[in-house]
Amino acid sequence: MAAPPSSSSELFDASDSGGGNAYDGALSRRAKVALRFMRNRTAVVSLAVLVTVVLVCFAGPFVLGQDPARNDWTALALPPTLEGGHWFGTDELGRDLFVRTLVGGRVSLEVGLLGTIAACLIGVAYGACAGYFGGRVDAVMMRIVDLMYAVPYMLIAILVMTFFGREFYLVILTISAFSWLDMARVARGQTLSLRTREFVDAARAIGVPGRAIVFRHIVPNLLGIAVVYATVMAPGVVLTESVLSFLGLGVQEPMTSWGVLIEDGAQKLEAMPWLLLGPAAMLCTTLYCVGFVGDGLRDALDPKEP
Amino acid sequence: MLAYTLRRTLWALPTMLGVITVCYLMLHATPGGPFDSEKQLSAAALANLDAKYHFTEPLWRQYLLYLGALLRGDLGASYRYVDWSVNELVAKALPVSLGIGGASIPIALVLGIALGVAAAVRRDRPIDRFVMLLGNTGNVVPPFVLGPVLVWVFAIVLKTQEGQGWLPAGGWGDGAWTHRVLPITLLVVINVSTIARVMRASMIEVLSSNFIRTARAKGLPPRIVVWRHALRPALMPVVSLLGAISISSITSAVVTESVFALPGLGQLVVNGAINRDYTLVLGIVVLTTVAAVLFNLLVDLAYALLDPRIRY
Amino acid sequence: MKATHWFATALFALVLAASHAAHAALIAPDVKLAPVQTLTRQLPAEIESLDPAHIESWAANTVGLDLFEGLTRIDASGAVVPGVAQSWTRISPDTWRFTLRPDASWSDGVRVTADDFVYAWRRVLDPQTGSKYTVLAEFVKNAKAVVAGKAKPAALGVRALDPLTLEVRTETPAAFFPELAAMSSMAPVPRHIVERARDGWTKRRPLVGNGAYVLDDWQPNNRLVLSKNERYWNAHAVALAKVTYVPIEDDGTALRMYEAGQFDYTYRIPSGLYPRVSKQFGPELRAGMQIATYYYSLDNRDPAFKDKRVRQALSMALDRDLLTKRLLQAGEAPLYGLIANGTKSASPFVPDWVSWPMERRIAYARALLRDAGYSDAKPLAFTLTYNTNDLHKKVALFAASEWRTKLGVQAKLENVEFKVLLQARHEGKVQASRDGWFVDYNDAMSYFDVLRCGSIQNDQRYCNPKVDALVEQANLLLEPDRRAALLTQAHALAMQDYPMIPLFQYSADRLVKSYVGGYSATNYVDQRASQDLYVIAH
Repeated sequence: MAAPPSSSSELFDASDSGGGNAYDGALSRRAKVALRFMRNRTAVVSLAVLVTVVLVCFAGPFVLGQDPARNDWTALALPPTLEGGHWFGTDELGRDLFVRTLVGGRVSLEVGLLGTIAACLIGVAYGACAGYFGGRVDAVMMRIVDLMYAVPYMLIAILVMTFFGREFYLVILTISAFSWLDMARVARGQTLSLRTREFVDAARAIGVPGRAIVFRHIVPNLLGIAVVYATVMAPGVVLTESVLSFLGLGVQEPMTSWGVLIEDGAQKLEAMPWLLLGPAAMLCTTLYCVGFVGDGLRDALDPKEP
Repeated sequence: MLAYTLRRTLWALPTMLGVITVCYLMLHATPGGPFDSEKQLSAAALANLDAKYHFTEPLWRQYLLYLGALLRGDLGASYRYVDWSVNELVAKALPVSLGIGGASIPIALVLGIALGVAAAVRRDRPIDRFVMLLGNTGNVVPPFVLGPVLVWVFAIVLKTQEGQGWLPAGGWGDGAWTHRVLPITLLVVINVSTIARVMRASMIEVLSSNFIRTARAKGLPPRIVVWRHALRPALMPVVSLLGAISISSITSAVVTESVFALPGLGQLVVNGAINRDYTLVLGIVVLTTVAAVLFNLLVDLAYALLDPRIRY
Repeated sequence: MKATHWFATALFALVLAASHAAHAALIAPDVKLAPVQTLTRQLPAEIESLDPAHIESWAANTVGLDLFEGLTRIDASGAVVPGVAQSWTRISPDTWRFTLRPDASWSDGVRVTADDFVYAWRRVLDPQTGSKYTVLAEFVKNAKAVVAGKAKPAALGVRALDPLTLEVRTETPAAFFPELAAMSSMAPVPRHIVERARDGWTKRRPLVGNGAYVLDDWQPNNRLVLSKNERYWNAHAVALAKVTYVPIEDDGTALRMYEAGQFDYTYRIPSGLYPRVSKQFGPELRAGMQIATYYYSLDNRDPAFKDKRVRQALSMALDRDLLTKRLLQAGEAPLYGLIANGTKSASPFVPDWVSWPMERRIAYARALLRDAGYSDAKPLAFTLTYNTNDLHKKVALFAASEWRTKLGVQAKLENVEFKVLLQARHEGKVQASRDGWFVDYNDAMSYFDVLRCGSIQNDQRYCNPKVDALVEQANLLLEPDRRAALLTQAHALAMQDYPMIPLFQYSADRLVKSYVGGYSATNYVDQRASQDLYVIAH
């Protein structure tokens, strides 16, 4: 277990090769991360499942050739059947639920992915800067965060949607606009610890400018926690989208999303359980896999054994 | 430390002013007003209402009037709930939100930390996967599904002799513990997953750092290593999130309050926004701001406690 | 002498008993009442106020009618019966005289007099009060001028001839004035309390009222607790001793709480669950109708809808039977005109094409669209706006699908927040939108507010002076049958212009435990006073 004291510890942390044995010193850091990831079976399986889900959601409806908006008035609210072609059943308006789930998956995946990435990028950068530079910069930046915490989220959502229209990218924008706050706080907290470490002093002594220290030394050390928190945030982003739709501020019919389908299904759970089960199974599977991939990534990025 | 605390407390005032101003402007900019209804009011009736609530005055004048009242501790009159002042509505909703959200935080904290540490220490073993699977439920299953499922089990399937549910399916009544159990459980489940996952990741990182290796090399028993030495620095990210989780559990637990029909702050602010009840929304925003400033200050002070290298 | 005296007393007692029994909880003699008479009822939302001057929602009106009683009252079957007034006569088309009963009193013992009504109505209309619901009081002479501040409240056309006689003059002849007088906003208020306490008078506990119940406790968003008012003139006929109202907004939560035994009486059932609820609860599901219309409002001035043929085609193509029986399945009734079934003084409009087979209707509609200049190359396209709600979404998707498949019309769906829709529609920025009309009182006149030229409720911007003239003519008539015939004619004339697309009449289905008696299935107005309900032994 005892690997030789790796050069990746407190000094010049992330810019050089990570830990491991002498044989893979020749590989680039990225390759090493990928290798370590591959060794984590759960993460690999989860990643495979995720890729499958993405493929099915984006390509599936074309392959099946079914129109998600087609109403079959003779097939209202049918439970799932194998022969009829309605694998997930139909909803109250006679629309095939399987196709709707796939189409909804596109929206949820896009919102979840883009929203989370945007929130992460902004949050990590913001929090790291605030934590590193400290003093007045920190004070002002974090008071802005306090301010945004206190403002009711729904008001902003209503305003953005009514003034700027109901474009899809605005939904992502609105959700990211608030999701980055938590990430910023986490990043700042970690940065406060990190900046007292010797490698930061060393970098400063050499004359590395503040911005470079933040982005080249501090941020990479945040990545572990950031990735994990991102996987915690992603389901929240997807669910926030469904709450927005519930309030009339999200995606418009006939577009749908997993959150919308699940919210609708949850209300009719006792009467028509299939409305909930199909989309919920897809959502839960996806989110669990995202979690495991996130954990795997965190382990791969920061490989020190306990 | 004391100077820092004082400085932060002073910052609270401009922050509050900023929040109130931003919200005030946003509320008035939002389309639809408090008196828009499906059956239109006649011009005369609208004019009377505008006069009664000073809507005819220029916006800056109304804003100053509001601030003046705020300084006296008067949050104003509700536009929709005519019989109640905002102070009264908030005062009645606050104990409910504190009783549910506030009570769920310590429970979620303890459980989340325990789960996260257990998973980190026995990393990659089956127990890790199992604990994470369980812990993740709150993150993956939407609350508007989990809540009704809880209710279905404890209030509808399980029944007492008289045919009543074991636990009530909703409502607050007099705040008896029976009304609190299920909502607190829901909030705990939701928050535990976040805390557990972040705790696990953070603990893994700390456990692989040099000073822990030193402690182990010294021969300290694993339990002491984990709980006495690793826990404090590992708690940093959890504490970062604690402020946010606390505030949202108390002031924004809208789904929980809706599922369990609880008369809390979340429902109040959402209804206020929907009804364009400006004073009600602003009143709760004031409360939330105070809470946000306070909690964030406590979190920052906690940073210093957990990591002695941090100095302000 | 003694025998006749005894006989007269017995006869008098019998008459008294009979007249009283007609207007309270009608309990059949063989029904055994439960020893504990308490009921818990659900409200759909927290109420805005218990001050009659500020009551505007259905929920607040329901509670208000338990706490305050007006000149008249709506009984269990939906009929107008004496309340504080024991009788009334219409002296001339626009003048009414109400004789109040001498034993009506406030819960603190003070007598209810005609002055209380005068004071209350003036107060509702007083600009300083800032009431949002002056619609009913505005039928009284000079009311509109008072609200606008152009006349003093004392100029209002109501006066107390003596403590027990009230004379009302209406602005225009209103045959339905007794219906209006039964609503909460026309209830009296205790002048001796209000004048002293001003706006805070509703905070007093117990709240002083003249209804069958008094308010013991009110925790916002939590519950309202009422107990029987022993000073109510008909208290001996009131069965329930305690009533609790619980405001629950989410229908799913309400259903679960009903299942868990937390209340006895819901407001409605969740959308889409009717068949399953019916199967599970059987007779506890009380199906009924409301006098409320669901329709699509069309901006008649919009280029897309200016042509009447377009509007007619859109209406003809919709299969309302499919919508109500297969899609919504909660007992809604299809409507082809604005006026719903059960409305007094007018009959619903049924165009002759309703009986045609659907193919013929589609062909005719297509022909209409062609005549209006639309074709496959140049299809009709517009936006249908609705506010977020499961029911509205279903209906909109249905309508869009019907129009698309049957007529080749492209209706784009837009889902906006409620207040945003209201403002946009008021400013004329929406083309087609979902709308609804719930009557304020049970008379066709409530609907004509939507059709009258220049009315603020007329979002369609429809104007047909002939219709308005017919309506005015009808209101001058004193015979109800002749008036009804003329109003039906006026309504039909308006509907033939297709200013909007009526879809269906709302149903009023709710769950009420089997041991709750006094719930009538024919109360279309859906005003259900607690004093008409009772708990059967179970």
